[in-house]
Amino acid sequence: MRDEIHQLRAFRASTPEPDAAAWSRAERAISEARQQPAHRLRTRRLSRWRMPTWRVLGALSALPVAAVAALIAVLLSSGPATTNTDSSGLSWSLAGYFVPEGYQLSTHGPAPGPLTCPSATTCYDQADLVPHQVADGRLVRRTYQWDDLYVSKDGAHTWQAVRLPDGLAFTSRLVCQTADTCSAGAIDHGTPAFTVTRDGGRTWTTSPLPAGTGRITVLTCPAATTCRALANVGGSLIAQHLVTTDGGRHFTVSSFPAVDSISQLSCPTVNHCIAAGRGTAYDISFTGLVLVSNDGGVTWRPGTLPRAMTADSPIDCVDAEHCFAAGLHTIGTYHDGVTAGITKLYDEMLASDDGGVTWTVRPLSARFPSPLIDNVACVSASTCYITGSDSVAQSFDNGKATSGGSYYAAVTQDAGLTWQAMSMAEPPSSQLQPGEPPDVFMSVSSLQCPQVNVCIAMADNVAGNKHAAIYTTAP
Amino acid sequence: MGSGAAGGRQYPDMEGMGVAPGAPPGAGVRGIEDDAGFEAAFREHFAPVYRFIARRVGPDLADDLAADTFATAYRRRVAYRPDRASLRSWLYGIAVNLLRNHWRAEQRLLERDSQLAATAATASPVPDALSNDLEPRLAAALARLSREQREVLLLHAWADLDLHEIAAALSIPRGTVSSRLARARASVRAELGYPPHVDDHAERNGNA
Repeated sequence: MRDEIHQLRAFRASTPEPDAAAWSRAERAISEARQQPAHRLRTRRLSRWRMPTWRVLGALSALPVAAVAALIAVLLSSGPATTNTDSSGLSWSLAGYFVPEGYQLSTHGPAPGPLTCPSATTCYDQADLVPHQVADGRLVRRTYQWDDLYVSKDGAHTWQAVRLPDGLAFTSRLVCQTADTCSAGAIDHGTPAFTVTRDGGRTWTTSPLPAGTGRITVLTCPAATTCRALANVGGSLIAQHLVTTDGGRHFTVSSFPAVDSISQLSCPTVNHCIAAGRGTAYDISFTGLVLVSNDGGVTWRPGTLPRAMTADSPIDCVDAEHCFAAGLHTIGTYHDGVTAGITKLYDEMLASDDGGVTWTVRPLSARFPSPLIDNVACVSASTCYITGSDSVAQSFDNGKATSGGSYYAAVTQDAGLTWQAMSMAEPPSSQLQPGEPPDVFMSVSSLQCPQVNVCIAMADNVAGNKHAAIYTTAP
Repeated sequence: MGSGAAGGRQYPDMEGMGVAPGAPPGAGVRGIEDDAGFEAAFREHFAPVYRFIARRVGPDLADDLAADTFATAYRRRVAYRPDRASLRSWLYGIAVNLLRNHWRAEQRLLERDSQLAATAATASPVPDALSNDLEPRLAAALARLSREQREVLLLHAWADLDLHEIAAALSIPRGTVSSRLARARASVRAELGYPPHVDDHAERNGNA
């Protein structure tokens, strides 16, 4: 008699062999890894939910497929072989875990996604990212949706699942006006939509977007009933500008003038908005571009970015004048007619004191060599928290392995003129995977600062530690 | 599962890898710290690892995850210890770790398969092939396993790893592998309506 093992071996036995595309994909990935001198490829985490908000991904998305490999492979050379341990006395304490025992060990837990903390006690986590790959004939682009929602009412210490209506998933990060009133771009049974809850996620009111509108990928709500959004149709990189003034029941759709790669939008007031992106959707030169509107998006005027920098990361405005963003600094590009890429890149903190019209560099690289910024959260015109990685290599595993960099967390209290490193306590039950650098628990995937001196971070290194640890700066 | 990639496959772009098209598999027995050794390992193990991943989460995700598996392996190659684990168990361990981030996709696939309407019972033309009504039951059985049990069972059934290799792949004691496998098999057998195993001796010895 055939037993269950034999039956299992017949189950899905028709799975095809890898095709040429699969082999090519793997060969490219190995080639990219090969070009890194050290253990860890210093890229932003090209995984799960962090991708939608990142300009490097935007860069990848905006390139021909053949250029992606070249671009990924660039990045940074390793720095001196020392470990970055300076903490200056500022620290994050471990508050708990997103799911007890860690989501990777739980058969029922979610893969955590972006945090949204409208108050020091209430946080939401959109979880269970589902990527969708689409193409417009020239480029490959990924869109995302989050299928699950979790809520914490005790400062992110404990979490409960929120049951979403059948067929509803999020396509943008939540934007919360109060602890219980939050909005997001959504997909409702496959149809692009806008959804809002006024009771902390228990019920949702969902409205379809106008015909011909793509999924909302970026949402900003400067007033209770006024929200603006970016939407993209299918694989197009051309962003639509959506506006509602009645809480999402009706939207008007417009486009940006002569610019079609807008990927970020922030509106500190109803009429004052800042949009950022690149020169054109198919731009391979990474020409940064920022636009400012003072009339609710009717007209836009260009702002000024530092040379060789883009600002197509989320823009964090603490008021109508003071805004911050991670800027991508490129040093040299190449284009051989087939592939294109950057020979070197790193991030610098960008700050604007005039509502996004002019931007200046706040020199993070003076503190962290060749930094990449993963998260920015500002609580005032002078105080911002960031997390990311630098090029300070680590030697570990008895000296047999070397990482390509170190994770860091830092704070500035003078609008980015100087930065102080912050320490994070390693989870006591952390079980690092063999061969992982010892600081993977500092790989922060989401950072929120709902009020001064209260920040909440989620560390969920996908390849290393088994716990999605929650850190807080709250006493 | 296939045992190698060289069986007639045309390598689309191996020049950059320094691999001669048509080179025979098996060179992976040497170390993987040098590029040539790693390329040989890639050539030998990519297809089976890909198929293992594809069976679990579908071909769409398999492209990325299989690529990530070998990119990760390349970056970590200096950490591989031949005296502790076979190369393939080490590679499957990386794949399993990456798959854990997609357990919901796997769960959805299993639940979808388990909900397939059983068509009218038809005699299978091949005695060992799955009948139409068995496939949903198997999917349901897998869906009901814990992640830990499912990992062990599928590494055994689909990746053909023995208990020692599974233990090395998952970095867990061999006894834990044995108990998880026994429980997983018992659960699946119950789901399929098979009588309980009377002797799991073979499992304990890793040659079930």
